[in-house]
Amino acid sequence: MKTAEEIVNKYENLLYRAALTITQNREDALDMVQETFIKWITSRPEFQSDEHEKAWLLRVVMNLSRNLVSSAAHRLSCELLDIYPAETKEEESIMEEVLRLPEDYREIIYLYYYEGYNTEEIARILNLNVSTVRTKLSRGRGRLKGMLEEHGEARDESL
Amino acid sequence: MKAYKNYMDRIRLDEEQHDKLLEAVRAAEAEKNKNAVPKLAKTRRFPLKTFGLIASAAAVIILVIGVFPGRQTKQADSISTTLRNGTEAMAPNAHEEAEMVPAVPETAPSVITENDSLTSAFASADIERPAEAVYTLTGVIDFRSVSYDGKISQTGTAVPQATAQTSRADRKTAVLTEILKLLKTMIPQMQEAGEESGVNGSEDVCRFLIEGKEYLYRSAEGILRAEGREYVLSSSERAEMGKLLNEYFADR
Repeated sequence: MKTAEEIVNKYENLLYRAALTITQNREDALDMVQETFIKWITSRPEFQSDEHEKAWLLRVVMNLSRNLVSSAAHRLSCELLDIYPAETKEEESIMEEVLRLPEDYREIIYLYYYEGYNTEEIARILNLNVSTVRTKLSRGRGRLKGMLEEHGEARDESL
Repeated sequence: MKAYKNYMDRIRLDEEQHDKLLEAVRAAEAEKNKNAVPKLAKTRRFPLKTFGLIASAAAVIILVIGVFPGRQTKQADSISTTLRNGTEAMAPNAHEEAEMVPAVPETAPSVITENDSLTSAFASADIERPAEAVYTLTGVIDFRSVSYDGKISQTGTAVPQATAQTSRADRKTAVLTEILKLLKTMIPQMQEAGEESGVNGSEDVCRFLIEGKEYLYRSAEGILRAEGREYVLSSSERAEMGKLLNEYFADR
């Protein structure tokens, strides 16, 4: 059985990124990470593998973050690029466009491109149909591509 | 998406945030360990489900008898109202409930004397008097305490008098605290009664109270409603009561 400290050390950054992707607010994201760990402590679920554990934590933090964003308590701001400034023009452009995407697209883009999950896995984590995930991923990519082209920065060859 | 990955790679908690998070998580873990339900060595003689079923059946019977006009006595009406109010799923419509809800008591609750029999105390309980209603509530233990011999020793159950000025939250806290106090007093007495009859049922009862919190929540809601206050405990209030309950029994 892992201790809370081990879990925090292992997953804090992963959960923070996931929460920040949805809330776009550092304090809110931190709150959601803390809430997730507390949920883990209180329920102490049994996991079949590390991958299972990671997916469970991601699912919890994303659900909590989504709930927060849809509630009145959400501190509205888009401060991500202020707190974590982009190092290159390319990073700035892509992040500006990603942050403009609706939250449900953003989380799928994050899980697919950053965490490397496939669409079936994303569907399980977000409790969605696989076809919904595929559609949103495709539309999200399309919107990113369109936005980048609009800005004359067609750096979307990898999209 | 390389730029995206590079950017996301740099998003990390700084040392201060990490320390704060770790501290909060450690505190939550310590709290969890502190509130852990104590393991009782003795196994139950009867599964809790059985008692839940008996209690539910009794509640349904009283409820059914209670809804036939002309057949209900004042006492039966009072008890069925308590049970009805304590059972969300069985709640009647708002109009009926409004008619059944008694007024806020005007007189101070009476103190239940020692060695009343559970049966007579149950029958004479008047839910317009909070102390007795609390006592009636503890009648649920009768369903569970196999070794309980029907005698109960209970003193000083006066619940703070409800007034129109008392806030709902204050009243809730007073009722919950009173229930817990009362239950805590009853445990050793039940143990004593159990020992006299040659069966130690106190562990069963203790476990029931800890595991059967839902019963207490509903009863607390019933008491509050019986005072003319529509009340459903929120999940945080239930958690708070569960925590109180665990604290009360943890030091046993």
